[in-house]
Amino acid sequence: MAVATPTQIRPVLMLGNIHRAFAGGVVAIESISLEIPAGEFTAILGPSGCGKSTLLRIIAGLDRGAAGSVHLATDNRLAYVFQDAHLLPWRNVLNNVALPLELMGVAKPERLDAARPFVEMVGLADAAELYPNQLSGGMRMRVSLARALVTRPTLLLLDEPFAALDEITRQHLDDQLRQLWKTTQTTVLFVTHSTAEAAFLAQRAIVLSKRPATIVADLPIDLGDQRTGELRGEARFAEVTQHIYRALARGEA
Amino acid sequence: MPKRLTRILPPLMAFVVVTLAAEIITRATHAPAYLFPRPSAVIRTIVLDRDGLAAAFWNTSQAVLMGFAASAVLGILLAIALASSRLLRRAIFPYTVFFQTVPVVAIAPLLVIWIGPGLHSVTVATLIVAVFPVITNTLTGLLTTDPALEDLFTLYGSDRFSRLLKLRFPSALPSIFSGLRVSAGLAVIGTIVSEALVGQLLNGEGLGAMLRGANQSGHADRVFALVLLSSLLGLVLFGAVNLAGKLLLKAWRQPCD
Repeated sequence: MAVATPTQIRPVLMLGNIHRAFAGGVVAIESISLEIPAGEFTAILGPSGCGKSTLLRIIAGLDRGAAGSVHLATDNRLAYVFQDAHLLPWRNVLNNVALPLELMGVAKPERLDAARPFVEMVGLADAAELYPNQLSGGMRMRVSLARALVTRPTLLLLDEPFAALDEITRQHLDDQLRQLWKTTQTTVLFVTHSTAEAAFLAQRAIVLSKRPATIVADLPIDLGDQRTGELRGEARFAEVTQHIYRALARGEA
Repeated sequence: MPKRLTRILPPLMAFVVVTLAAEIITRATHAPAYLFPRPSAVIRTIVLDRDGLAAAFWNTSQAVLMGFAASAVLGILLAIALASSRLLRRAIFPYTVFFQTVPVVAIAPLLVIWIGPGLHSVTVATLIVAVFPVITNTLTGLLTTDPALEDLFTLYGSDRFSRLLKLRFPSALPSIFSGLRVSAGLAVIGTIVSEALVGQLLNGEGLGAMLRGANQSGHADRVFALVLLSSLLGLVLFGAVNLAGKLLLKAWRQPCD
């Protein structure tokens, strides 16, 4: 695990008794309280339809119907990565990545200059002028990642971002995401339903129950700071995966 | 070249075959010319009166274009206004159905009284006939943008204008062109029918007014010649809108149906 420095202890996000009921009486989230320290990589797991996405939307301020409190550190910048890339088809890679800055009112030369390093960071320097329909699914997802990182977010929310990709591409993007996290030192909340993906990526796994969601387990993942592809084959990796899996199974019951 | 030929040749062949068949049948059955004119008589009429027909074609084209342009601009603007407010949508949208259902036969004489005979009342009648598909298709397009992209624009604090300009309008382009294609056909029908009712256009007779005259005097060959020219006008406008749509959607990397 990363060594805790004073800046990392200050929470970037605090959730107090989040409760979300939808019209018609369906309760998506029963009660969730949570503290996320700055710089931490946290995975959120849970059964399908348990309200993981709803939780991210509440944190991002996109769902304003919840009871309870969401405290974000002052001077925070949020970014959100969806399940699919959701790029603007009529814009090339560079202009898609620059979109958030454009919406925030950054002038064209500045935002394009700011976007270029992030296009390079996700390995798409040669594809900067291409359009989404000329890219593979994995490449499109990397554009989506670069677009999220371009505002230098203090909190990066990812909602099963690689779920639609094939296994090889997915593992490759997991590697890349961990590298990006270490480079940018942003705080990451990563929703997934894959125990292996959570174990590989995160420092901490929060397991939710089936709907209405509560926290079943809050597990530290002690697999060190250097994680490479070989880790996936090691016994301690399988052990962590099993541990998360058992918590998930408890939540499903 | 061969690909283009295989697309043009079959309909052309069908046209020639049907025309020849009509010629043979009308000759063989001695059908009266005021009921079933021979295709050769229709062609002769077109050739003999080519100057008059060309002028009428041009006059009607102008009216169609003005009515179609008005439908496109006003339809898109109205749809943008309706898309921006749920209240406005609830209040106004039911009445846009009026445009779809109003019989131009009923409204055209009133327009002549209100606006006066000529190009303007024909343009307004055309607008009333052709605007509805532009409104509904544009509105649907504007209201069915990708919700995730809507969220993204919300997250980065986009104002309404940027959202419209950078997300909703470009997303709606395929629907807008579906609406414009339907509207193009309706504009031709609307112009010719209202022109037949209203009479003179600005610069003299158009195809619609001539059609009425030919019908009343029992010149079936002339009626058929004018119907052919009306169809030609519809085809040309439809083709132009289709082509413009294809090119624009390709430039915007949007699917085109």
